[in-house]
Amino acid sequence: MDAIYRITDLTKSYPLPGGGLLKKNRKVFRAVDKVSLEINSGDTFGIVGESGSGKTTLARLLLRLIEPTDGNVYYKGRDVFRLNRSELKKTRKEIQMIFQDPYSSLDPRKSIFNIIAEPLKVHKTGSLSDIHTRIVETLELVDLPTSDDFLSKTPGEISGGQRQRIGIARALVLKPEFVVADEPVSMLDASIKAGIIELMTQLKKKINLTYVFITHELALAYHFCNRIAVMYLGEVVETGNIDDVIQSPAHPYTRLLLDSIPPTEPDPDWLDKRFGKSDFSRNAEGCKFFVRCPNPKDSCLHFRPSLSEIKRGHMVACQLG
Amino acid sequence: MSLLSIENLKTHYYTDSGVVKALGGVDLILEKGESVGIAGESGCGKSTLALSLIRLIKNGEIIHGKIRLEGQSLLELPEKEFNRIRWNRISMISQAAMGGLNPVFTIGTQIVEGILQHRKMKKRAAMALARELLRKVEIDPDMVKNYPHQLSGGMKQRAMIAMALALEPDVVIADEPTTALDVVIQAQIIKMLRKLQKEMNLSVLFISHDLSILAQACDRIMIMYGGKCMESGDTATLFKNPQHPYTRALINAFPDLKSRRDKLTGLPGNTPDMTNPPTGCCFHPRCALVKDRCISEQPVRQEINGDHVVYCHFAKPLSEEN
Amino acid sequence: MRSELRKIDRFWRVYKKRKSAVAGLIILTVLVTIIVFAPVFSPYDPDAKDAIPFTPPGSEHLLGTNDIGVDILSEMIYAGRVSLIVGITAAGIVVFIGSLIGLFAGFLGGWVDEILMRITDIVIILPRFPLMIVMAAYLGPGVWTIIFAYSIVGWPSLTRQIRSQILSVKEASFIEASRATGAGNIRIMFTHVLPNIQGIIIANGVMEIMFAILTEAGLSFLGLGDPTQKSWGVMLYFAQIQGAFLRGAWWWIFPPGICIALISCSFNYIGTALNDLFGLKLGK
Repeated sequence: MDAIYRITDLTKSYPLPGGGLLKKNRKVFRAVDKVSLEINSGDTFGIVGESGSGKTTLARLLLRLIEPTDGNVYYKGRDVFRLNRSELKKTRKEIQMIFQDPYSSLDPRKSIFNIIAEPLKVHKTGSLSDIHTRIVETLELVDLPTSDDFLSKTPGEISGGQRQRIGIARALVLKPEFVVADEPVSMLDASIKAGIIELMTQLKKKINLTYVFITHELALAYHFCNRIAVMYLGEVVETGNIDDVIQSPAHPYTRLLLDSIPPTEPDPDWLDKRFGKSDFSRNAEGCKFFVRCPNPKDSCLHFRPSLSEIKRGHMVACQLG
Repeated sequence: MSLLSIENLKTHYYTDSGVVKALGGVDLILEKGESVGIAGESGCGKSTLALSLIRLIKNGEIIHGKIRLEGQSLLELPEKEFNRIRWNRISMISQAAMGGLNPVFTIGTQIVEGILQHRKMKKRAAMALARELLRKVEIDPDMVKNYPHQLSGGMKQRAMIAMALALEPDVVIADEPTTALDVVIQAQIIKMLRKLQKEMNLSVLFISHDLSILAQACDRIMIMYGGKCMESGDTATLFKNPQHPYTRALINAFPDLKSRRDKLTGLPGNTPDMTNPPTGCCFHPRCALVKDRCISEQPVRQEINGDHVVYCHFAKPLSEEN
Repeated sequence: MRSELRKIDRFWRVYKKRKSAVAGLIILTVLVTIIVFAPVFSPYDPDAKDAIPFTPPGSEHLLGTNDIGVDILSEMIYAGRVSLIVGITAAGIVVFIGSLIGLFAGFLGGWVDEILMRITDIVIILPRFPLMIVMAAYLGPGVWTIIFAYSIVGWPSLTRQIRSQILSVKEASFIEASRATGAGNIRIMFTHVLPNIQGIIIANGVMEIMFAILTEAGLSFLGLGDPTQKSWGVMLYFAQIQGAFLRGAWWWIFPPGICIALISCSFNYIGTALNDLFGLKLGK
């Protein structure tokens, strides 16, 4: 399989407040810290992490919604950050995004029709009647009504689940090859959530999509993805095939995450598990997970591990793994 | 006599688009030392139930029903007397806990203030109590000197829990206490809450949209939908033998880590519009097993076995099944 | 279309709860109707000088006549046209300049914002009224002079408001969603940002009309208006120089004064209500 996306040493840092008048000694916060990944065509690639792990920043970098501090992102062999304006616009036709918040990601003043039509208008694809046909096709794809009455509604007049389907329709209307879904179901109720995930699974089969699925729910990634990367404080600490990572997690952080997920049925043993310390301070020099690690070695304090392969395709950044 | 009993509670909100019938007659009993979970999706009335218990309904009112705390009827009490019950005997850990702390006072000051409002004691003693409480919720007692912004989200939530427990209340309502937190912190807090509940023999009403959390943290669970109880029973039974189609759907909607299911099954449709709730069984528009009777007739309380209760026309009591 | 109607209906239901806003709307409707259909409502030709000068109000001339025998009521109704047109035009120009500068500064940020906001700061600290007097005196009296002078100094406060609104709209994720589809800055600014602050712009525009009418009246009263195009301000100017005060011709002074006050109040009430209502709706 060929890599549709290749990410090398990608870093995005933000200056922290302080550092004196001239801001010379300003410290920086690395939201994404030297991330290297490959995403293959046809993957459903999960990026899993808690808040502050940098997973959303990474997603925005993939689409060049923000500029990186360092590193490269190659889409089909071309560096996304070196594309000129018209090349970037052309590329954006192929890579689309589904946003987290079904409320604020749709312009409240636009009708459903205009929201889904926008990508088509931006890329000037055909006449108004062509646009109408495409929109109806896309709405059918995401199981939404196609009546004129529905098309003239505004986001405020439909339910949360329907809004997120509109968000998906907007991402699919240009027939992209690659879709980044940033926590697409985290704000939805459980019964609605499962329906959206099921829809995304079907869409993948129907129209050959490659997904990047950003989530904080490891269990959801387990059901939806074929490969995942677990992020901790801006770094990828473990990546591999979903079954390898979930069934034989090699990084202590992955294990902690897995242990922390409450089982879906009563399990008296779960509360006896250790969920680690609540300390979140950083360890500047060595392993970032050192302070929370259940059994760290002395060398972890000074040595920052990089990803290394422990099994074909299964990589982990831990000295102990 | 039960510690807390709720009978046929109905609460309505008044909005521009009409009357929202948020609670349509809920019964619930909470015994001493018991943790009861209220599960349901947004708009099912679970938070309204919590707010009704402490009589903090805004833009609406409790129109019907009884709430009794150790036999004493709470809804008839004048506001001034109820103030003595709030916090003191029924306290609440809320969804919006992070905003519940005042940024200009230290954690210690805020806990002490809360204690002194209800108890006559020396400030020194109250501060000692505050330190003791922080130890109970597993944070450094010296944090009494810290301001809220110096605490992480998880620590703030722990501090809020400490405040809720300060007066040793009879009932603690935990309304989505871990929703905004990361999964590891969530697990830590649930573990701590469960431990405290057992140690202090607390009675907890645990409200959450996440059934798997309730599965771990509660002795009994009530499943709510459309402002009504759909099914309730002890946690193990409910998961082993769910009777209501909604309960089953909800259980199936959560992905688990044990086995990789091919399909996650969602429910078609949306949660009901409570200004105009569905006729008959309020779940009927989304139910896969819907029959004519469900549309016309409201299901009545049906005992399956002991305190396992279901509100569905087609649930089978244990005796009929065999 | 139906959703538009529903929106208007919902808006009206909230609007009608405010007594002052409804009162403002009624006063404004009455005044505007009279002014627009001036030939219907005015009893005499506003230019006919055939009545007896300084006639007090009576059955023949409801509001009396002025120094050259013109019926005050008729003159006042026609003068309202000038006041209103000057007010709306000046407010329109101010809203146009102010929103555009605010939009570019707020949305583009960076050095564009830096430059535009420094210019705004400079204009905002200029003493408005004296500057307008100087400008009007220099360019010669006239309606366009007043509109021009008002437009030059009137936009900065609106710009600042618009800019701060844009800073919050800019953060909404539908803006990022639009960018992700490939849309450029100009498209996003005019199809997403501007429509989402149109309520604030309308509310401020209504308030600007009030300020413009008051300013016009003030400048005209000082003799900087066009004597051939009588506005309420110009009427007061003539009343003052032709000795209406000395002769106790109150009927020449009060009517235009009351008109200015009424129309300003009504615009003010409506603008305040709109500001509150649109302000609430922003976001969700």
